Amino acid sequence: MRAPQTFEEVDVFFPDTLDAALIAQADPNRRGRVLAGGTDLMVQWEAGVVPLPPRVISIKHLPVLRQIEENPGMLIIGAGVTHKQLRASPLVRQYLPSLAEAAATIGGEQIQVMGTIGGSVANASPAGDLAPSLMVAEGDVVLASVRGERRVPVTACWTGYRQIDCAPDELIVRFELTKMPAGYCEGWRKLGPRQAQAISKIMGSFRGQLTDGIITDFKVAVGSVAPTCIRLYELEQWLVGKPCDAATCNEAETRARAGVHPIDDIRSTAAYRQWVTGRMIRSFLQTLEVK
Amino acid sequence: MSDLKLQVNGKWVELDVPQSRYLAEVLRYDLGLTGTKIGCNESECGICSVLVNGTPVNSCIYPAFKAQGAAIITIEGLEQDGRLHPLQQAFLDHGAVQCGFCTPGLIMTAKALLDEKAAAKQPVTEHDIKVALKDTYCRCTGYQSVINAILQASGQDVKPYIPKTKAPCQTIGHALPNPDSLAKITGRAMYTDDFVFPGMLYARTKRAGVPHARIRHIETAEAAALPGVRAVLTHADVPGRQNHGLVTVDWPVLCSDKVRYAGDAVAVVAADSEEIAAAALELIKVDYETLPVVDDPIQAGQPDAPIVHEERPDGNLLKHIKVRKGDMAAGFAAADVVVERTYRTPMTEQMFLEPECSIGVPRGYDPTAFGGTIDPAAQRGVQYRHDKTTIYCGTQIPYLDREQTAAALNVPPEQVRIVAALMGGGFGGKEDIAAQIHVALLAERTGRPVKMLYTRAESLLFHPKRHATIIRIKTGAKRDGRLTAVEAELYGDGGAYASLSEKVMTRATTHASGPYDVPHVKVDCYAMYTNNTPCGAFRGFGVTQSCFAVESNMDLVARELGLDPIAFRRINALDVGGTTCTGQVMRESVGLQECIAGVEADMRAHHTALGEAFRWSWSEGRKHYAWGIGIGYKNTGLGGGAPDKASAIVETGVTDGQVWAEVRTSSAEMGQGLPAVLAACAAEELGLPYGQVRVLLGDTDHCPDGGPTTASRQTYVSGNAARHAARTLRARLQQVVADHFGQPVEQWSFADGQFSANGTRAGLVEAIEWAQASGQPTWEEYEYWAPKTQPLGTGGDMHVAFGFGAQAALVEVDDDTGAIKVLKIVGAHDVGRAINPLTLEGQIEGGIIMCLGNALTEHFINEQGQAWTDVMARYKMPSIKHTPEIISRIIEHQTADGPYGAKGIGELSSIPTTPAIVNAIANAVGVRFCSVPVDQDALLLAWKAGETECLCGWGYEH
Repeated sequence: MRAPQTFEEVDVFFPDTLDAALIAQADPNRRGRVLAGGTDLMVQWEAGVVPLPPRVISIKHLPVLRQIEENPGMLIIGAGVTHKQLRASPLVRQYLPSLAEAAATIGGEQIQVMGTIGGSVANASPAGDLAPSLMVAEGDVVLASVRGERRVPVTACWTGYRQIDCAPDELIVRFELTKMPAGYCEGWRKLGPRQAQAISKIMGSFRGQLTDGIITDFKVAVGSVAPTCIRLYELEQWLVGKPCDAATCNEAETRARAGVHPIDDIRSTAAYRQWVTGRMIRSFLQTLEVK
Repeated sequence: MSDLKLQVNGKWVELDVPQSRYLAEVLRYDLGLTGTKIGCNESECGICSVLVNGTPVNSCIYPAFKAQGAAIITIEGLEQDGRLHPLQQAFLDHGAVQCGFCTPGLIMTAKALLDEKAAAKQPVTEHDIKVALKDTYCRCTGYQSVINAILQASGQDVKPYIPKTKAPCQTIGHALPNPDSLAKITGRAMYTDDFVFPGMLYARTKRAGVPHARIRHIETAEAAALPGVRAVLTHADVPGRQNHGLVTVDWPVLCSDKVRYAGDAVAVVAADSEEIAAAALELIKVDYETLPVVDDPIQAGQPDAPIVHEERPDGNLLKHIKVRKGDMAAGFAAADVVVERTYRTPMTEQMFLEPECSIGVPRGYDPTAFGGTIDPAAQRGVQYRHDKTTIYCGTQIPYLDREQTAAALNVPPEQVRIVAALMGGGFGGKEDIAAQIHVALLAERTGRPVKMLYTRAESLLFHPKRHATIIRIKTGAKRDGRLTAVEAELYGDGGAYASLSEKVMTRATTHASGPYDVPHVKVDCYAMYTNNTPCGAFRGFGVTQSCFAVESNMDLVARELGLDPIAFRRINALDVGGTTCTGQVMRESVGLQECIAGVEADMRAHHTALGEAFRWSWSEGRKHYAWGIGIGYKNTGLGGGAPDKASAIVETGVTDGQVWAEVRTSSAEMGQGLPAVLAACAAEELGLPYGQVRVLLGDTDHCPDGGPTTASRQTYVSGNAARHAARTLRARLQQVVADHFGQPVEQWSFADGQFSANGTRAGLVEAIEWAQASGQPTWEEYEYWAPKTQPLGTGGDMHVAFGFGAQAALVEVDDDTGAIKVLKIVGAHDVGRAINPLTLEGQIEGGIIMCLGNALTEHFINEQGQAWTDVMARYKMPSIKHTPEIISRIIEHQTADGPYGAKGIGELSSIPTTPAIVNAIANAVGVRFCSVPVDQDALLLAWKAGETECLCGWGYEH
């Protein structure tokens, strides 16, 4: 079959229920490329960067995917929740503040209402804005298929550059993320040549706890410095038990730079990304100290 | 196909369309709601925004079926019972409408914000507006007026920002909305792609894709055989002149023997649909022998460089331009300090939001032959009759389009008619021929109307950009601060075709010693051909580049001399009696000293308001702050000995007892506000209310030639033509009145719209009716000739006038990241006379923001003749988030020949901003950038490495 030349030729399916979507995806002859907002895919297709698929299945509108709920330890966020919902949700703002902050910076109003958390994760860009916040929150990505549900730790869901652990018949349906415990704080930063629209040069999040001046827990993730968003585990371990003072900040800055191995590309240079990673860690530690 | 049900602007519609059809297509093409515009088809510019159940979406890539059953509101749905929505009224009041192409998107996105805030009973803040609209671009306004308009519409008491100007006359000097703004805010304004003709075909262009190659063979048979394809044309189908060009006729209509840049046109296709035309392009096979590529202007001058145009005698040298004044040896011998640096500026892109579109209609076209009719009520601007080859397009030079099209068709120019549609921005990028000739050829071949709408990618690939330059400049000065000599050498990358390179680089050259009285000057400029995208006109016309180099060097010299940058500039700034580097003695209208003083006062006022003393730079924690200054000037009019004239017709009549006037000229409106100027001139002279004057532009069958809309010349030349035409017409009417009463005309006078003599009075209504009754024309055509100028190298007046400006930028640099924020721009511009302070301020703010992009973000990236910047998302232009506070002063040193003393402003505001920002960065962190845009990466790394100067190439290598 000839690949479609224009979107007009693509067979677009809007299922009425999640089950209908899963049944379609189970059948290799009906299975479509999943659209969950389309702020990445539609643009790539229109620009001809990615060839058009013969079939598309759009799932963002399914109400079951649009909910944000909580249980005592976790926030449960549907894959079709938009950036705007994330930004505005009191639950997300309280328990996953860096995720709310990250979502708030993605695009203007038109992108905010279209783009979804599931789409952003599935797109698997190393520069995905939400990834660092998910990585420090920890928890599971829940995937569904007619075979049932499967859980993947969010820290392990990206397997390589633009690759995600998701079978062809599976859909990301929700995220179950650990709430930020009392006494913790979170932070998020994005650095780009143009804050509004640029795909970021570098972005990162942290979640940490300071007890009597001593760092008792610290998680940090950085995007755009490797093929996937990464956690800086070695640095995290080194930091626990240290006082949050100038000496620690200096050493952490140096260690962070040594701990990332970014590349040069047209958006930025490796040297810049390394430098800024260090400064970002410093600013995170300073945030921890202040809060 | 399936059934789509939508409630559009309150009315239910049902359509049978494919599931994949985009909402913008449904609205524009299926429902005829052309108020929704498409700017990029990549969800980047946001101007296609409409509301789906109250939520703004980018309709250009929003599948319509996602909106199944939803309520859609478009710009056409905002008016209620004939009353404008508060946002529409506010955009009008604040002059937040220029070219108007983005306006529907801005208004719809703002409406969603206002509705949301109203529902939550929260006030709207400037921050809210910047968050909501950061993905909705406007290339004209600079956003300050947009923000103020939205605040006003939200119920806050925000007045339009209008700088103080001289006391107004009856109309001249009043802040009034552009006459076409109402159509633009309601979605009724017609741009080229909004026109539809029965039987119309859709065309596409086969582009080279390779930057330099010999064409061995072009095979079109397969494409021609594709069902639905109506014509495939190559160079062999061009009956007349094979090349076009504004100055040098070197640009093939369709390439025959070789291609010289990746955007070269090789074939054109017309088909029943755009999809078929696109499919046909894939079937055209061109056999190329690829050739080595030259992609750098200095490399282009080397003996072993690949030659772009073998037929030219000077290799890749398009033009060597020279300025000579005084004695260089003496000049540098007298200097106590000499500073020499090399600067680089990259190719930049106009990024007008409306991609190029042309429609060709064949001679003798009859819509009924295609089972249709033309309804001019639905398509304002459309013509009933097409008795000659007619081209609808957005163009800055209608008469040259006509001439060049006629030459290609091998017919006299009078057999071609250009009908200029509204233009969604131009900025110089719509001066060269785009598809005008192609659609004319295809229309005549097929006997049907043919529309060619470029995609954003094609627009980026094809049209001429701002020249990349390398500028070496050597400045000498004495201890007392007097400049003694300036020597400069410029290389300009002209790209594959001449376009306006010679003129642009001449302007860069003649402005290369800055707006200073320098006794000894020598400048050599080499405009070079390369295999890059051609470069041509872009707001600033070469002066943007040389001003950056000149003003950067001035700060370096001031530092060497230990002088304050402002004091140093004031010592040398041109004034009446001074001489430019081309030998022009300034006799009048030089408000530069006043501009600099104004800017200095506003910089100081900033600190006074904070209860502190003025300081150039300071730090607070991680943030470093500083002011920087830049001053500049820009010629008004073509100059250099070129005949510079414009014609206008002013006609009057009476309808329902009310006098109206119409001004007609071919000059172009691209958002800069020309109709406002022309209407004001006619209204002033005829004593008519502004609202009773209409303006018709750009129809070569009805409008006399206003010349090119370039060189900040239209207010001056066409404004004068309209003024004189109206004045001459008034004199004739005065004669009619005098004759009517049998009295000598000398006894009559005209004031407040009435003729009077010895207690007898007659209004314009009577005068016009008496004229008509006596068979005298009630219209007048006037051909205005600007004062004669001298060619470069002959001394004397090279230009009729210059606009002068000074700007200061306050920047913040973050020492964690190198991120640069411009917090404030204070500017003062000598415009001669403010004809309309509202539209004038729009030009100033828009120019400043565009030049802010030039300083910090904008870079059209070519790699080996291939554009990396192939989609809008890869070109970083300022968004609303970048808009600093802008404080503007208008200086009015009237010029004798300008209408009411006015001279040009269109480009001036976009010239000093870049050096002001770059100088501020140097003052803030001690790193001087000799190249733009100032990339935060390079800045941070240079800074941390302890470097004090940084010159980046056109790639990102450091």
